Amino acid sequence: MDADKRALIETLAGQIKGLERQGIAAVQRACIPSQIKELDEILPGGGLPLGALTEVLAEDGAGALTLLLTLARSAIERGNAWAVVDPHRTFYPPAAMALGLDLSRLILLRPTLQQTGWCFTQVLRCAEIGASFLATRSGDNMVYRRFQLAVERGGGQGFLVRPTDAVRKPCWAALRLRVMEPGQPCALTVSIGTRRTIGLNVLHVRGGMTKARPSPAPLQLPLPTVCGVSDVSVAAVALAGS
Amino acid sequence: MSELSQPSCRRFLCLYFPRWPMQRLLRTEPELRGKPAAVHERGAHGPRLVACSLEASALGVLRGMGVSEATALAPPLLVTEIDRARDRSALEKLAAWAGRFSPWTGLEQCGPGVGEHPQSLLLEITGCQQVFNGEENLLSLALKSLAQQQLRARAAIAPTLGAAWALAHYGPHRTVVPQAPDSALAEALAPLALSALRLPPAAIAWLGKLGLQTIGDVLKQPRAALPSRFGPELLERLDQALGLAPETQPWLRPPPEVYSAQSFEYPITDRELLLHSLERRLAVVVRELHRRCRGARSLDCWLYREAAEPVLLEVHLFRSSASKKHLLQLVRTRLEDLSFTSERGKQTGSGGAFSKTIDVDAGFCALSVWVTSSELLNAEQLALFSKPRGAPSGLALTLDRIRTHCGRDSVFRVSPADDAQPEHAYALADCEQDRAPQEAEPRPPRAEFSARPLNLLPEPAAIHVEWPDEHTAPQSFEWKGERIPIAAFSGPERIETGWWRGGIARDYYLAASPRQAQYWIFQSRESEQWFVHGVFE
Repeated sequence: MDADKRALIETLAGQIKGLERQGIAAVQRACIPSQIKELDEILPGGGLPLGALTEVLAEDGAGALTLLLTLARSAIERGNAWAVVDPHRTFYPPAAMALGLDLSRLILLRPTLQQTGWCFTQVLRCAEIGASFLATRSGDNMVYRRFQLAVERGGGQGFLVRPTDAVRKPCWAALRLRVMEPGQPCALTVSIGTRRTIGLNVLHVRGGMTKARPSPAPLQLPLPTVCGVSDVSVAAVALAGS
Repeated sequence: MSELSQPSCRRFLCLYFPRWPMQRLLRTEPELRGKPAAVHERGAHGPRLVACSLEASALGVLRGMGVSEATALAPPLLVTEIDRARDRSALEKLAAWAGRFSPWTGLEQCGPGVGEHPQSLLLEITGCQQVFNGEENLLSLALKSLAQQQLRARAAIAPTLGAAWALAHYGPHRTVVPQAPDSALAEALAPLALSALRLPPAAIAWLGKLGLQTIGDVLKQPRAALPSRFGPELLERLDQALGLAPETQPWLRPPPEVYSAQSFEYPITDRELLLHSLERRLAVVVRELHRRCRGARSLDCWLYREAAEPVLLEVHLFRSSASKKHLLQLVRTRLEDLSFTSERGKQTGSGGAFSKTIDVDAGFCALSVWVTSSELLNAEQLALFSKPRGAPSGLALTLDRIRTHCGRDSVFRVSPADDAQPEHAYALADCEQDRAPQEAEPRPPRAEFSARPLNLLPEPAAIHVEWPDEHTAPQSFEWKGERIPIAAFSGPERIETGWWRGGIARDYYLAASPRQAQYWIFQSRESEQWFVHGVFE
């Protein structure tokens, strides 16, 4: 390779780096911290970007929605209202209240499955809604692209729960996380709610991470507890006693 | 003096709706029809039944019975709490509907002898009978129209308000007291019980002790002695019923309506032309709203066809608005829900998602826009470059758009409720202006909700739990055709409540699968059946 070509490549590489830094700087101007310090440390701007989507891939019952509500507390407090799009009519507001969220500003939307995508787009476009949530199994690239454009226009934050098989599909979110199963390597161990710990892997961060990706380690989780009973045998005794 | 101005020539129609709270409930919740159902009201001595359906009466359920007693007597009884405001509002709407028979319609005036809550409509039909070819025809038409609305009414026509009320409540059904001779009124009233005079219960009891049971018994007494012995009220009510004393009745006066209508020279079949005409009508409506300093809360747009039923586009707003752009956007959304037959075959993208298909081959010949509900606009400080007066906020616009497109029952405000039963621990309400989400009082989190799942199934799903040894944790459970092993199990949390609505007794447990999925399952203490109730999503 002659010197001219090498110089040209170095110049172009420098321009690319400059663009990337500008991108990170732009992100840094519009971020609000999540409630999870370990996650904020690796995100450009030190938090979740405004006007962008955040998605979590998880199996049913793995705590993805609890994680998102924990992450989004600042975003929820920032807007005049927050919205949950709940086509299956299963969202249980008292559990959200137990996470410390203000129910009086919650707008619960229960459209049909057919109207869900349109409905979520509308709330994402509204600047007064700080955070919008949707758990979905369906939707093609066109729908997610609409979500992305809508949230960019609204300036709030959109939070999506998707199944783990979406890992092979294109990502339209600024941040994509995956809840890992016990025993699988995970980069972050995060406490959600009052009694639960989950393992996370960071799959995608727009603008790149500010420090090296945490090295995945096998996840060791304690048993869940309810009413102060954490041991199976103790629980069984309590049951027999009742 | 014209003949009509004489009191004896006035004619009144009373429509009495027995068990009105029940009739109203069956109308709003048609799935209760044919089932034993009742309406209760909370009182100092617990909830008591106010009205019950005919099916419930057949099982021995009576008005005034305690809810626990009634549910014990008839276990399948479905009990709903009374909603007095909605009952009255529905009756007022019915009074407005009755405007097709007379311009003077109203609700009965409540008092000691009538009841605390209205159950009857009163109409002055003086002169109106000629339009309907006689009073009998008017009466038949009114009762037939009510029957089509699944409403049962007792009716009477008489020369006085008091007599019409008395005969509708205590006389034979469909009584029409003739205008002549004058004695006909007294003869019709004579066999009725004294309660028909709308007297307080104490006065009726006192008259009963003296052996006076019917109006005829009172009429036989010397008139001059009645006030001194029984107070002035008896004679006043008697005279009002006989037309010897005046009686005032507040008639419902509908608020001045804001509307605009347009007829076309030839039928319109094009959607864009229709939208353009709607825009022009909305401009007129908005101008009138601005003049009155009011904003629309609901709009009806009627599209008339020559040989078919008109099409109604209803628009309900989150907050009152007098913005033409906003209203037009909502009307456009409703119009997009209609599939025009002339556009079939051209539909792409959203085609097939229409909620209604209407035949517009013949076209629309006219349209009208009515403001069915409006409110005074909030006072706003005008700035030099402020948004136009009456323009709604971004949140209101978004919620209006969603409510218009997805239906009124798709957007809710949430408030916690003091109820131990998980499915009743919160209440949903319409997002209305007077109770906007940001204006409500925040409540502190309750400790017991920390063990509740974020996803609660609308109905608990029955499951089979494999639990061979009761001294250890269960091994697995089957749900949705899948066997889910249990790696961790804790509980129970016992919830036993709701005896007044059938009651629950459940032992809740948290079951976690090896893949870290957590489920909220319970065992019914009555049937010992296991259910999944939620997922800790």
